[in-house]
Amino acid sequence: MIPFSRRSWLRLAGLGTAAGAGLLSARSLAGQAKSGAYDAIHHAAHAMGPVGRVSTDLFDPSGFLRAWNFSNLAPDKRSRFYRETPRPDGTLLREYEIIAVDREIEIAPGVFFPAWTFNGQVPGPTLRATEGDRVKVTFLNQGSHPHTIHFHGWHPPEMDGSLPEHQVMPGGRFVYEFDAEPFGMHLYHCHAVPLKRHIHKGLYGVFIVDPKGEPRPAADELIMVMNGFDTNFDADNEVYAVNTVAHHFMHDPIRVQVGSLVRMYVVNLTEFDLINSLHLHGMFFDVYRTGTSRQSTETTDTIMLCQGERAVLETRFRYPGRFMFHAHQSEFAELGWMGLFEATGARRDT
Amino acid sequence: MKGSIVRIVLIGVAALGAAALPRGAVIVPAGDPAPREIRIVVKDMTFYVDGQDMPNPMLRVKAGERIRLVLRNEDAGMTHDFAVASWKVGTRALMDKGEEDALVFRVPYQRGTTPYHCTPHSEMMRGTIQVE
Repeated sequence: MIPFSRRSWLRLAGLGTAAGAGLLSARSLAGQAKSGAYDAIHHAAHAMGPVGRVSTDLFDPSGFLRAWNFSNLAPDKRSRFYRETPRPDGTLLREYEIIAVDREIEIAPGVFFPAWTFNGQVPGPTLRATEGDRVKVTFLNQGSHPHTIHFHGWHPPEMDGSLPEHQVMPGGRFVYEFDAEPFGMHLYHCHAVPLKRHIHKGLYGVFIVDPKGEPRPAADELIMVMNGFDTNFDADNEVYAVNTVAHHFMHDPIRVQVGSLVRMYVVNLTEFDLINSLHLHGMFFDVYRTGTSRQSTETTDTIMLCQGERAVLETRFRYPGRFMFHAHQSEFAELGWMGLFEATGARRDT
Repeated sequence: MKGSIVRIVLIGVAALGAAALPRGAVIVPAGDPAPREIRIVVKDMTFYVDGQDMPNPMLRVKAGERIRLVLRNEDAGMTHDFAVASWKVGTRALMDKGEEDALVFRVPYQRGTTPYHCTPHSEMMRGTIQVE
C-alpha cells in the first residue's frame, strides 16, 4: 500500500484544480510550456484559495472596511445602535448599543464557525470617536456565556470589563462610560475567562479615537482586522483572514485611487499564534504604531504585530493595477490571509 | 421519569387518535372555526408581523380564540423561537434561515396583556400580546 500522507492528498487535490483550470493555463502558459500533460500538471499556475464564494448577505468584509459607528445601516436602524448628542464644550456624547449574541458564521466557502459575536458580526462594529468625546456603551449580553467589553484606552477601573465581578451574565446589561482618549487606533474585546476562547470565538472589534483639533489628513480609510479561526477546537487556527472571510479580498479587491492617500487601521486579533503580520507588495508605507503620534516612526513594506497590537499605515499607490497584501507567515497567507488592492488612475512615478 | 410517563401517555393518545380518525383529521370541538393564522418573521434579531415594519409589535387576539402562529427565521446562523411563558406555549428553536414552525393554541379567556419573547434573546426580542 502506498503511504498516503496529507501532502500527497494536497497534491492530488492540486491535480484536480490544475485539470479544471486546463484551458486557462494552456493559454496563459503557451509561451513557456514545453509539451505534454506532465508539464500542464506540474508547471501550470496553481489556484489560490478555495473554490466557491462566501455569501456577503450576512457580513461583507468589503463593507466592513469603510464602516464605523454603524454607518452601514439605514438611518432608522442606525439610531437604534448609535446616537450622537453635542455637548456644551463642543464635544459629542456618543451612545452605542452593543449586544453579545451567538451566531454561526461562514468563514470560508462551506466552512461554518459557531461564533460569539458583538451585534451578530465578527469583528464587532467599529466604534469611532474624537479625543475628548464622551463614550457611553450600553452592553447587553444575549449570548450563552458571561461576557464583558474591555476597551483599550484611558478609563477608571470599574469600566475595565476584566475582573470576575465585571462579567455580565446572560440576560444582563452594563453601561460602560468614559472619555475617549488617547487618540489612536485601539480595540475592544471580551475579557471573560477563558480569555483566549472568548476572544477567538469572535468577541472583538476596533475602537478608533481621532485627534482633536486638526484632524488627520483626508484619506481613504480602511479597517483591517487580522483574525483566525480554530474550527476543530484544538487551540490552533485552520483558517486565517483579514476581516474574517478567508481569501475574500482575492475575489473582491480593495479598490483605491492612484496618488490618493490610503490609511489602513490594522489590528492583530489572532489567537493561539504569537504574531501576525501584513506585507504589501510593490510599495512601502509609513507606520504610526498604535496611531498615538502624528509622526511616523518607520517606513517599511512588512509590519509585525503581537496579539492586540495595532498600527495605522499610510501610503499612496504609484501604479494602477493589482497588488497583493498578505501575512508574511506564508502558512497564514495560504490558509486565507491574503488579498488584493486594485488601484486605478494614471501612473505616477514619483 | 415524569417526562417519560407523559410521553407514553401522549403516544397512547396519538395512537388512539390515529386508529379512530381518518388520516389528517384534527380533533376540533363541533362549531369551532379553523384557527386564525398569525405569521411572524424574525429579521435582524427582531420580531415582525410578516409584511409589516413595526419591530416587536403588539399582537391583538381575542379571548378564547384559537391561533395558529407561524414563526419563520430569516436570521442566518442565529437560533430563535417564539414563546409565551405565562401560557406555557412556544415554538421549537429554529436554527436555519427560512425555517418555520407552527404553534396552535387557544388564547386564555382572561383579558389583559401578557409578554412574548425569544428564549435566547429575550432582552431585545420581546413584545406584548393584548387579549381583547
